[in-house]
Parts: sequence; structure tokens; C-alpha cells
Amino acid sequence: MNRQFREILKDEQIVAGYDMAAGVNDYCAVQFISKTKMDVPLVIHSNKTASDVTNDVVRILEKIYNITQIKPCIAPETNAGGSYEIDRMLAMNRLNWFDVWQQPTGIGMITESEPKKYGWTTTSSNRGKMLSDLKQAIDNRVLKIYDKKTINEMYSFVVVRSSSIWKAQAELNAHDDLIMSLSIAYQLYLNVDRPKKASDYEHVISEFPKEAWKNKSFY
Amino acid sequence: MNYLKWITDKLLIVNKKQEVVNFIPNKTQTDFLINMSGKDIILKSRQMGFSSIILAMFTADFILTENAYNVVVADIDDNATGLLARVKYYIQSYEERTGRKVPLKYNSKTELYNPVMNSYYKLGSAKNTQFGRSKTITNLHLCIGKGTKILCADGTTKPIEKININDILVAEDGKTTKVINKIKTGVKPLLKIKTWLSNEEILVSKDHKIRVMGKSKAWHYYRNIGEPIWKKAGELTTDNYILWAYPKTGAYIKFLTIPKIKNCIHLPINYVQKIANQKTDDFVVKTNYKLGYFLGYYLAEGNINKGRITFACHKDEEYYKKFIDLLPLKPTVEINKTKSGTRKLIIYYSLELASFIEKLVGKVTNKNVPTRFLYQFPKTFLKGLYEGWRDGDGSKAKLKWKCISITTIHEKIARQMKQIYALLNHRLLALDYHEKRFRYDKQTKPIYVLREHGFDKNKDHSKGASKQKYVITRNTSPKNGYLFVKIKSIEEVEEKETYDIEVDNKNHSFLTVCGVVSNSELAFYPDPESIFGSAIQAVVPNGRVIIETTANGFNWFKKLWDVGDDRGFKKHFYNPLWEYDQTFLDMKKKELDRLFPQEYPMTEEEAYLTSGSLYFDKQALQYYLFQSIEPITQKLIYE
Repeated sequence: MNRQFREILKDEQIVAGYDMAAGVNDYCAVQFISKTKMDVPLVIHSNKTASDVTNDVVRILEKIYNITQIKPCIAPETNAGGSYEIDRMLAMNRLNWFDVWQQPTGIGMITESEPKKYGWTTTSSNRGKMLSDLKQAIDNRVLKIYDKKTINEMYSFVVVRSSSIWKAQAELNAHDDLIMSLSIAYQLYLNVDRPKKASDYEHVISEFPKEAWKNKSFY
Repeated sequence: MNYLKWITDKLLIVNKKQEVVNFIPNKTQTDFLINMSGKDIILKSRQMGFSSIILAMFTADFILTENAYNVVVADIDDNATGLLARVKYYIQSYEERTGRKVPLKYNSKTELYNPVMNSYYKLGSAKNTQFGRSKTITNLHLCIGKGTKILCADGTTKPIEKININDILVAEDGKTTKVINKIKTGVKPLLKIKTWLSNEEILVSKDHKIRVMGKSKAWHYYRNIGEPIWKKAGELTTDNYILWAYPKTGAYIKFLTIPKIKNCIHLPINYVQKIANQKTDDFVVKTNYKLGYFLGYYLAEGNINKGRITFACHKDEEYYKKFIDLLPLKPTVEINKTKSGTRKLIIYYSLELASFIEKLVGKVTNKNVPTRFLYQFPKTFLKGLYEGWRDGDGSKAKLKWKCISITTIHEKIARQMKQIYALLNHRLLALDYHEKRFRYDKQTKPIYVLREHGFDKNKDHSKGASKQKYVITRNTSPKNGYLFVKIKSIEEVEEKETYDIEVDNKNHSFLTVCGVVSNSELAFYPDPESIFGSAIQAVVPNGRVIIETTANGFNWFKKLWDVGDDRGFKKHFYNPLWEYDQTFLDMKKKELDRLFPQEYPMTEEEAYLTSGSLYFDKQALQYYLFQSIEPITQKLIYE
């Protein structure tokens, strides 16, 4: 089910996190964060199969580009068979109207021999960071969230003590799709740069002396 | 009825200080009595007195309303008994305060019956603990008319009024299912439904749901058979087809052994072999076509007497030659002349064989086709069984009409053979029941006549032959296993007593002589696992449903709470401040620690937490909840 809370505007930069359904009782969730307005104007939450939802998501991203004229960036979660959907998503992106997030190879790598991976891989080491970044944003009310279901899901997101550690997870029988997709989207919000436009370089161009290349000191 | 006034004027209650006082509803109870809608869900804190007020309301209905059927379901048996004790106390206090006696016919641990008003008060426990701590339902009504025959798994039929709990029936998917509940549902106007291929009928109320063929999108007329759907009996026409259920064989019994008996002629041992990992020196027979044919022919013509098996047939019949090499025993073939004519007798002199056959399929009036044949034996065996029986009992006199008719007095055999035929050929045999049958001017026992059609191989469907009902009963593919039979007539009949039974099959349906019907309305509820669903659907339009509970994690109740508005329920949340002061709550908070929000929740969301504390800041979430807005559109952005 699609829930749109306001119109998407021109020149808005949108980033999205996509959590795919792993099983029958699971939901696919996509949260779209506006980097410009710092809110979540659009949420997709569906119990259809991931391949159905991916088709919709691609069309939505293209529509967003049509409106904003800025390429939106999406990070589908690679866990639970998401890699195949990412492949499909890349193949469907024929017009190159959106970006699929490429995860850096990791801090501490000496060489860049390993290619960058498309999509977002949640691991036990980065899950804590993702959630604590999101918690900071929520607790300080930085991000505007309009969606009641997302907030309700946050009400069922608890800290539980396992044998040795405290772990944040959904209450028994409750879902965490909306929260995990929001936390991925929030990571993108923190890490995706705003693309430069021609107007961003105007002041540089104006300061640059005309025909400077003719001057030998330029070299 | 003004429950508030009635309860205050007529009932007594024991308060928390163990004193007997007039029942004056407290603030929460009064609020509920004023605001209740008839379909209510209550999420509440501990000990707010909802059970007391609901039981009191139902007591009022039990005493004053005609034909009221009040059902209260508690979580466990002990609680149900406790609740009924409270009801009995209310009735006693009513008698004391008003001086009027309430007549009680049944007064058991679980049920009260008021014969003057014909009202019931029934208490049960929910088997499924996920129902929450307790729930309360009233005014159940249901559904199937007295006299309707229900098909049991062993091939017999029983009128619904004689069905007992634990009886085994056939479910929609052909599997066996057990009766877990039976309810008498009052007198109702009924519909009599008959189908083609049978002269029997079922009586159902107009609201009762029946499994019928849905529409398919396939273009071809012959394939225009969709998945089965539920339809109310009142909406059915003679163009509808009712689903027929039949078993699917498991086919894992490959051998049978004929045990040795002392002091009798032994069957020679074929060879020692392993069956089910055990060595046996008994005589081993394969469950193949020949054995099936042998048993089928025995069911038709056979007789066991003095340790021997006799097949009696017409002097020209040679069917016995089909199984003559099944056993290493050669039968004696005699021609006998009796008063009734000349007969051929085929006799096996073997006590071992006779006792084996008797144990397997019975003898004389006890002949039957065991249920396990249908579920565990191979198809080739079943084919032999059916053909042997047909050859023995069948009459080809009607072959000019392209059908064979088979007559028997054994209901168990007739109905099981119909199921076997469906299993093998994916078609239905026609089965007529004649209660009064005369032969040579004498009334005989009731008989069952089966007709096997389809001997006209050259039928040209393009010239209207497909209009025959027998052809249309065929389904598109045996793979999906659906078999339908067309409705012949629907008539309104006079009011009769009705009953409903509940089965433990997931489809909540069972097979009658005219096809599959639902048990209660359970199959129509989005959450059919719960008995709760059926009960709600069963409540009459002006009946009342009240579900009250303290929350217990994210279970079905949370789902129901979330979608309650859509399903026509009014939601009532009572936080503990309605009933308790802050000092009491502070004390409880210390006692209960992290369980406190569940037992005494301040907000709806808090009520469902069980395993930990909130990850996000509670105040921030409240702020967000306050700021949340409804979506401007739920359409996809590109649409």
C-alpha cells in the first residue's frame, strides 16, 4: 500500500531505503526521505512479493526524477534474496533516472581490489550504527515522520536482553520492516551527497578571470 | 433495556472488601454501559470490573429475553466455572431482591437453561489461549435443519441431530475431520436443496453458506469451472454447482498378511519376507487389482459360513475366473438347484481366509468398506474393489440407456463405492435412496441404487450432448481435485429445528449427502483459525458481541484492535486512571516493574509490550503520533 503525505516538489533530493519481504508474513517497505525538507513524504508498505513491489518502486523513482529533476538514490537491502531484485532494478534503469546505492568496501581496506557492492547490506556490526543514528534523529525530532504505521511500529520496537547483550528488535510477532527501511534511508540521508548543478558553480565561474588561460602565470 | 437501572435495582455483588452490597456500577462500568454499541472491543487494565458488568447484562437477557442464547468464553476451564458461579449468584440475588423465582431446567457446571423464556446461558473455555484472557459473546444462531444427513468417514450417514462430538466426518479437502462442538440453534425457516445424481436432500437456513463453483475466466465452456467459493443458501439458483468432497488415497499399504490359525487347513507360505521391517511367515498377498476384485466380488455375492467362503452367482457368470489364480487354493465350483432357481456356488474351504476376510470387510449385514481402504490403499486395488462389486451386484439391464445400475442394502458399501469411484474416475456415481421398496409385492429393506454412466463413448458433445448433467459434473482437471454437482431444485419448507456442528478441519466445512457446507460461518472470517470468528458471524443482527481483555503481546487481538473500526467494532480503551489513583499505581509499578505497562497501560500502544522497554524515546514518539497526518493519497505516485 502506498501512502503519500505531501506533494513532491521540484529540486527536492529524495533518498530511499528498501527492505524486502523475506517470508509470507513479511512486508516490503520503502521509505522515501527528502534531503531538502528533512521529512518522509512517501511510504510504500506492501505484502506483495518483492518482485511486484520492485516494479512499482522503479516507476515511482522515475516519476520522482520527472518532478524533481534530481536523481533519487535508493538502497535496497541485499539480505534475504534482495540481490536478484537489485539486478533487475539496475536492468530496468535504462534511462539512468535514478541511482542505486553502492556500499563502500569498508573502512580499513588497504586496496580497492574488491568491487563496490550495489544495495545495502545490513550486518551485525552496522545494524547498531544504523539504529542508533535513527534513534538520535527521532529522539531529537530532527526528521519529520507523518506515517502513523511507522510510529506504531516504533512503539513495538524494544530493547531486549539476550544472553550477553542488549539488542534492539521488534516485539514478538510485531514487524520491523518500516523501521529498518527508514534506518537505511536515513543512512543514505547522511551519506549521499547533493549532486552539483551548473548553478552551484556560478560564483566560481564569475570569480575566474576571463581568458585566464592566455596568461602564462595560469600554468 | 436500561441495563444500568436493572442491574442497580435487581442484583447484589460481593465487593473487593468481601461485603455483599447492591450492584452499583462504578465509573468505568457506567461509561461502558452508556457508550457501548453492540459490537465492542475493550482494552483495559486489571480488575476494572468488566467481567462483572457483562455477566450482569447477560443475566438480564437470560431472565427477561425470549430465546436468548448467551455465550461467555473464558480462557481456561477454571475461569469459566468461576464465571458461571458468579452468574448463579446474580440469579440468586435477583430472586432474593424481587421475590421471583427463575426456573432453571439445566443447572450444570457450564450451562443454564431457562425453559420459560427458552434462553440459554453457556460458558466455555477457549482452547486457543491466544484469544486473550476472556471474551464474551451472546445470541448465537445457526443453521442446518433437523433430518439433514451428514456423511461420516466410514460411509454411513447420520441425521444432524444424531451427530455426536468426536464423530468423524469428511471435510472439504476429502480428509477426515472430527466434530468438536454441536449447537442447537432454534427453529428456523429452511430451504430444501436437491442436486442431480441423487434423490436425497439437505435442509439449510437461508444464511447458511454452501461451497459452490466459482466463475472462471477461462473462455472455453468445458473449462469454465472456477475455484470453489462460499455462497449463502438463499442466493443459490439451479444454475449453481455444489462442491463434492472425496478422499485422495495415500497408497502406502502394499501388502496384507493372512495369519495362520491352529488346527485348520493352512494356506501354503509363499516365502518368508519382510513387511514393515518384520519377518513374517504368514501368507502374504499384494494389495493389487486381483485382491481388490476378490474383495469387491465378495461384498456383492460372497458369504462366510462355517469357516468357508461362498460366492453365489448366476449359473452363467464367469467373473470368479478373474481372481481364481490369486490364491494357491483352488475353489470348488458347484451348480445348485434350489427353489429360487439354479445357482453357481464357488466355495473356498479355508478358515484362515474366511477369518481374514471377515476381519477385513465384515460378513452378512456387517459388510463394509473400511475407511482405510480409501485413504491408504493403492488405486489399482480400489479399482478392482469397485469393479468386482459392480460385476457382482450390477445390472446391465439399463445398458441401453448407457448406464449400469447397482443395488445394495449396505449403506456403508454404497456410499464408500461412490467415493472410490470419484477418487478413481473423477466423476460421480448417481446414488438414490429408496426407503420403501417393494419386490414381488413385499416391502424390502431400504436400498441404495447407484448408477454408473458414461458408457456412451461416441457421444458427440458438439451436438448438445454436453447438456447432460452427468457430463457437466466432470471437472477440468483431476489435479486440482474439485468435483461439482449441479443443483436440481431449491424449495422453501416449513420451519424446523436447526443445529450446527463445528469440525476441527481448517476449512470448517463438511460433506453432506448433497455436497459440502460450512460448519458455522467460520470460513468467512479473515482469521479462520479462531473459533472467535465463527461466533461473531453467528451472532444475530441485533445480538451483541463484547470482547474484553488486557493485552498480551502482539497477538491476534492486536490485529483485531488495529482493524476493529473497519470490522464495525467500537473500540474502548480504559487506562488505569479511570479506576485507580496515582499512589496505587506507583505501588504497582514497583511490584510489577517492566510488566507494569502491560497490566496497567497508560496508552493503547503500551498495552501490547511484553518483552522489553521502548528503544525510541517515548515522549518523542508521542510527539510524532500527535504530529502524524493522514496520507493525501494512497494511489501510486505515477498513476
